[in-house]
Amino acid sequence: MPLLTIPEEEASIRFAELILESGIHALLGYAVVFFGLILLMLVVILVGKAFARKPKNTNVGTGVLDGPGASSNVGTGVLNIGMIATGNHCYLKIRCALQHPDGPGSEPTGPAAPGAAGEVKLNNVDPKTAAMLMAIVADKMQKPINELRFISVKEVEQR
Amino acid sequence: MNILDVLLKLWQDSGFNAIISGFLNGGWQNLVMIAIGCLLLYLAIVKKFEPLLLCGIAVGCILTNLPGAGLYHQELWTNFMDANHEAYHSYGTILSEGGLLDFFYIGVKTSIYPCLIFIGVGAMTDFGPLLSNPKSLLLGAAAQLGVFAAFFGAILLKFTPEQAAAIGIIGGADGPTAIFLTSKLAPELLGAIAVAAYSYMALIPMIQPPFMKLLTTPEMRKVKMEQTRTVSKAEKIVFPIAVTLFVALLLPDTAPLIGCLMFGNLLKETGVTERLADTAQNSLMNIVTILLSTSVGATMVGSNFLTFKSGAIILLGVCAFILSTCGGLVGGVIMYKLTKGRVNPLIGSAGVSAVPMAARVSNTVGQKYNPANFLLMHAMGPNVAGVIGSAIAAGFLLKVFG
Repeated sequence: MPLLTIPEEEASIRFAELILESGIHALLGYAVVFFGLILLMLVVILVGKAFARKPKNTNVGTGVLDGPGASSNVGTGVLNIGMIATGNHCYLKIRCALQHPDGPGSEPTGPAAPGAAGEVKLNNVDPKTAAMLMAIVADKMQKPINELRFISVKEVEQR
Repeated sequence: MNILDVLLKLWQDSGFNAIISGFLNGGWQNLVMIAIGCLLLYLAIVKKFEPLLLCGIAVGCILTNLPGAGLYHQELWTNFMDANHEAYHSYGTILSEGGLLDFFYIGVKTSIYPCLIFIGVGAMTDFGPLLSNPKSLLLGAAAQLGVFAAFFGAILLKFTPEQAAAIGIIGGADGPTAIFLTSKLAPELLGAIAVAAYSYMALIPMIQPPFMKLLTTPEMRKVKMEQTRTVSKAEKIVFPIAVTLFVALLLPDTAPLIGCLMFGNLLKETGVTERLADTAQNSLMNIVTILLSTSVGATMVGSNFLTFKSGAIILLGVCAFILSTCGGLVGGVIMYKLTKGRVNPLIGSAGVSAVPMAARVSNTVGQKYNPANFLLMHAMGPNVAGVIGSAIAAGFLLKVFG
């Protein structure tokens, strides 16, 4: 006597086919998730690189303060940021390095800002104002303050 | 009017009479389901298992099993899905003959609630950790292993392919995605799948740590990861737009979920729609959670829920969670090897979604081995990647079996 009748045999063959098909679907689905997320990863990396490059090519000074008179020039890795602090009506020059801290530029003498490990030179600017301005510059440049090296904050013209 | 007749009629119309007179004809099932509803309430209130969802599910379960209350009509929805019935896809029939929970359930059937929940989730999610470490997307992908393994397991247990796909998505550990897919592919299993998904999400702190220890060495768990870069606001604004375009073009079936998730995130990140972001995160999310949870609970009708299938779903659900955890951890170990020990593999388990619970578990386990190690932000990357990964998995399953 046969172990399986013909309908049972057909059902078991159909079930085996379903299992095989489902196994393929499962593997394919897992691969599709990987494929989709790998492509998305590439997109995110490209977008990240595009935005990381942006600050170097931008005229940073115009973004520092909205007030009139803001200006800047991009040196070899050193930004000279001119800004008008509208509240105090004074023209300040902030020098900060983005990528190349050893870039060219004069080193004005004067007292160092507290906590700056002697790196930021202040000329006619009190430490509180300098700290505030450094925070504003970092915020407007959308750069973490620990990635910027401030070289000097100098008042160049009193109005 | 005879007072006795009035009292007799009151008794005959009461649910007590319905349970007693029909005890052997389904009445016992109502009682068991009311007891299960009370158990879910206990878990939500006393044990704090996903109380925001489980409270509503429990109340929906109790209300739907009160004989005579007529709050939810399983037969109306069976006819709604029957292509040969005159009420096939007829919301008019539901509105004219349904009860309160039938009206609530329309939001599930039309996928409105999962999508609105996703707007809220998007408005609460910070994709910064993912953007600062895009490789964490790979961990989010690896942690979808449980979805496809449970799908295969359900086929072996002789579920239909549509039901198996809905069961598999429990492994995505993403409640709205599970409800979205199940309501489309296997609405008859919605109650069991939703309860399994949300219960296991609440149990993640108990389910994951043993496997985290099993698949990693103490040296791996001690790895302190480097601080990732700060992500600019512009990047955070571009990200939801790019993801929506990219993922929806790749798998159009995911567009409702991904589109809503990213819309919510865009509201948060623009900085000019604070009122809308606030509404999405709070009021909208809370209102939809109430409607979603009670209507999902309403599908737990005794005759439908107390079957072998529900037990199998609970079992397959826990297997899916475990396998997803293991998939993410194996991905983490591979990244640990490839980066020569710079990635802590514990963050891989966070790839199962369940935001932010799974990331917190990674952080807690990591701190046990190195108290100065803060993995939370690193684990948030795979965690939110898991949300996108499970949406892609759902899109694939919907495309194949929908």
